[in-house]
Amino acid sequence: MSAAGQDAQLAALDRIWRNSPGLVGQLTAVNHGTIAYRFIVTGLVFMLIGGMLAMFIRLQLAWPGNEVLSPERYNQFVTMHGTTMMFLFAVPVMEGFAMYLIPKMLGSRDLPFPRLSAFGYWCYLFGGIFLYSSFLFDAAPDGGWFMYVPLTSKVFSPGMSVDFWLIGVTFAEIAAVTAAVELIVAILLTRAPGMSIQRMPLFAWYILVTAFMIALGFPPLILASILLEIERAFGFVFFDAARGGDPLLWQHLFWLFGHPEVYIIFLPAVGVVAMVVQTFARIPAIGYTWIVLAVLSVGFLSFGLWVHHMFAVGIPLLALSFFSAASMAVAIPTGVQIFAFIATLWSGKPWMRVPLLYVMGFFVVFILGGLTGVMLALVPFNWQVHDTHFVVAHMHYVLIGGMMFPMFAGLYYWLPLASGRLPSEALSRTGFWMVMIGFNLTFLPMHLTGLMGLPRRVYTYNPQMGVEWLNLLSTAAGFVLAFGILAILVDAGLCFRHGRKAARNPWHAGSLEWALQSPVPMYNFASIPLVASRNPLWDQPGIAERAAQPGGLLGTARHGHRELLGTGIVSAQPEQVIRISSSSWLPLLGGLSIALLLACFIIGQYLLAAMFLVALVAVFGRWLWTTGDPTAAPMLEAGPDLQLPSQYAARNAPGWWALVITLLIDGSLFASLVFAYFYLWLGAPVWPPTGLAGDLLVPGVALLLLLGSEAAMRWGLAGNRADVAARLRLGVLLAALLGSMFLGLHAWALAGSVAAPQTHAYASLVWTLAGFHAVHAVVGILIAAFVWLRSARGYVDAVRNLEPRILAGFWRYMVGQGVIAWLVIHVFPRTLG
Amino acid sequence: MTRLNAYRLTEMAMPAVVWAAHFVVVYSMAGLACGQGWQRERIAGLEAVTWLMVVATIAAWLVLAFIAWTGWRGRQATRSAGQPLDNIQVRKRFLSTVTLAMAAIAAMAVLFTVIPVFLLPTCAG
Repeated sequence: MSAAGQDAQLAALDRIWRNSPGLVGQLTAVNHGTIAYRFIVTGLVFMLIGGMLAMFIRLQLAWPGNEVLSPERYNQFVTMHGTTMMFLFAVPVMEGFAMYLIPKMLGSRDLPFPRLSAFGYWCYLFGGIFLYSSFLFDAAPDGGWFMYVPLTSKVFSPGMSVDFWLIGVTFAEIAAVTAAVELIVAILLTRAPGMSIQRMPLFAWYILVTAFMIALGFPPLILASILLEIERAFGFVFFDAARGGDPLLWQHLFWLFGHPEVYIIFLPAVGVVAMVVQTFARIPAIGYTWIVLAVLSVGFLSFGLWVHHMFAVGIPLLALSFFSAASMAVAIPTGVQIFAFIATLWSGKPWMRVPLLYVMGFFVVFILGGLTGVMLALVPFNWQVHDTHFVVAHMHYVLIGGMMFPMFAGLYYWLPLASGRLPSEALSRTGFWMVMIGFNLTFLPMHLTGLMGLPRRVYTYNPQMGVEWLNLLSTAAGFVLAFGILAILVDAGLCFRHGRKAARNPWHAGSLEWALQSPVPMYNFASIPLVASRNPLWDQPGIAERAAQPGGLLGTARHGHRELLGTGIVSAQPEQVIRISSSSWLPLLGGLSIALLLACFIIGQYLLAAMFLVALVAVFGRWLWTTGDPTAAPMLEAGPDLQLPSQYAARNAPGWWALVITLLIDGSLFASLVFAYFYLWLGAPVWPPTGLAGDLLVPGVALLLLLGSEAAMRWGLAGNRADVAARLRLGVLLAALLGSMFLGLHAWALAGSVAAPQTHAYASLVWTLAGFHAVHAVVGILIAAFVWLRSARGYVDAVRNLEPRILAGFWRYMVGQGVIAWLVIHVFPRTLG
Repeated sequence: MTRLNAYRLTEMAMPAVVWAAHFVVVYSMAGLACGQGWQRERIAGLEAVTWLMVVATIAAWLVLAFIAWTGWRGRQATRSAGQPLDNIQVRKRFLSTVTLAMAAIAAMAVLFTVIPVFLLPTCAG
């Protein structure tokens, strides 16, 4: 290709991939780089807000009897500090890093669902604002970041503060869940050709495991929040002991989320460490396989720890011991990772630049936090220091050590890629030492104050405890830490304007993102690179130059669409051309609809809320209709002499895997609800409380209708495989009809046999289980209507079968869930209950 | 069992799933025993629920041993006589090694979980 031809190609790629100009362009942008910047910047802003709250808390505790904050204000600030740091800072910032880096590291152009990431961002932003707007109504949440019932029940927290928390946090969590789907599919399907699973950068392994943990770990809290909100809003019973509920159910669901959450924050940060260590040790990681193994084990084991937050609530000792064992076991794979990193540094020639300095800080601080963690895993010791500042010290050592230090390492490490410039070494070292010294002097004394009995979450303390000097030290050092963090952010900001110009790959790193020039083109790679090594930039000379020239894989902008190359999950062989959406208003409209819906809900305007729900469904309908490029031919040209199916005709289509991951998330939500049912049954003397009414005849007929709908769906799908469009449409229509009949009949059967949900936990659970499934049935019917329309318009046939496959997959899951819910509702109380 | 294949990505997570299932089962048994008085009668000196936990543990170990065996076999199959492995073989070796090691870790984690069963009475509070 001539030089002029190449420039024309690059200009065409840029035209296809860049955001629209001006404010409209900002509001409609979906590109992963743009969205990732927003996640990171918004997350850092929330970190500053949360940090400011922490400074007020420290001022209040500087000396006994201080009156900086009233006790009520203190409770609000403690609650909002924890909530902000966990939900609005730590998780979203690491998601931002992952969204920015994953496509670049894997040699892709974008994430597979760009509008989904944009939608997630708006939900996160609006959710955060929603939560903080509570201060305007003098209703800031004050029940602690864990929102324990019964303190947060309607009786003891009658205002709107708890509702602000439940709704705002759940709203913001949508971003985490959508990011999980996005990142899993991106890592499994969009790696550059040749980057088979054992060549994947370690950061991608960490993000993959983290994303699965989000998929399984967030739903319990989402469910708990929904249950508490409907208990508060409509008088259902789940946590009120007087009517068959149990406040401990909240703690189980909360920590079932809350402990994996800690690792959800920690693992991506260690992923950053893994990349920084390799680059600055200047050798590939020692023990790649062992590190992968350790990440996988931590991912799983961390789900067996949640009760160690509940050692003091009166659970039998044997059950506590299971969790104590798992809590100690999880230290082993964590240790394996640390040793692998130390071994890598030991074998290499470490180059002590600022990112590596932060990694050293991570080693010191995090290991100290890990050791106090092992102490806390021991039940008797845990009882001794429960709810004291010892736990505050431990938690900040693991979170700041395990997440903030690596985050700053990553910030400095990837800053030259994002800005094209190098930050000032002197200023950044000053920032590091201020943070390191400030942090340790703030939190090290808290181990002592905790052991001396200083309780957490209490606005003042008795001067006779003798902890005032240690507290004063913590407060003073806290300000050093705060100024250190400010210095780092100023340093990073200044770098964008005044930093020294950096050459490409200034750290001489081996991973693919450093093949990109700076400023990074919106399409990342002009030609998708071919990978033949774990560290392509070290082992494949010229790969960066080749990827910057058009003409290779997807290197011709001939279609006018944004296109990604889809590759095999394990092999990374090219499999499909994925056409993705360009800039769109829909994510913003979707986020706004939810914000208005929830605002109406919180003030009790349920009719208005329902109207915004209709608006939301309309937005999603339009979104689905415009996904990718439904008119794409079944085969597309992917490069010189390479024809690949479009995603509509590919077996491993991203849409299919998004469905699988979404159902995993939904399955976790459903499992949490079933857990709630059995948990409350376990503690109930009689179940159901008033005996059973009605027989199995009507529910049995309803179940047959539901199973019949599945048969109709399969019959329709077989029709599509035989390319008989009319049979597909008839089958889909029949399934939807039978599904609707099931809904009507089952609701009628329950209305005749189960009391109102406000009477007892049993009735609440039955209605919630049935309602939960009914929502899925309605969604299934809506998807069925969509596929019917698509088939009528000719977008679907035996080859382009993605949408019917997704419908059938969802339908099968919905019917399966219905059968389980039916067994729990109708059969369990008749047999074992 | 043709579906169980140490060269698949899901296979390496299977041992951990077994550990999780074992964890849920023994924890639920302890909950049932203490909440509903389920299986508390003594058989040969130990409560029935303890025996059931032992059975669950042995079952978990057997499944893990089987997964480990598929991993071991997968690893052996990629051994070459002198010549360097190609990318596909390296990948298979990596996947089966991770599967094998995950099975070993899961077996240890199951052991870790079950030790307190023999040290504590079921519902000591």
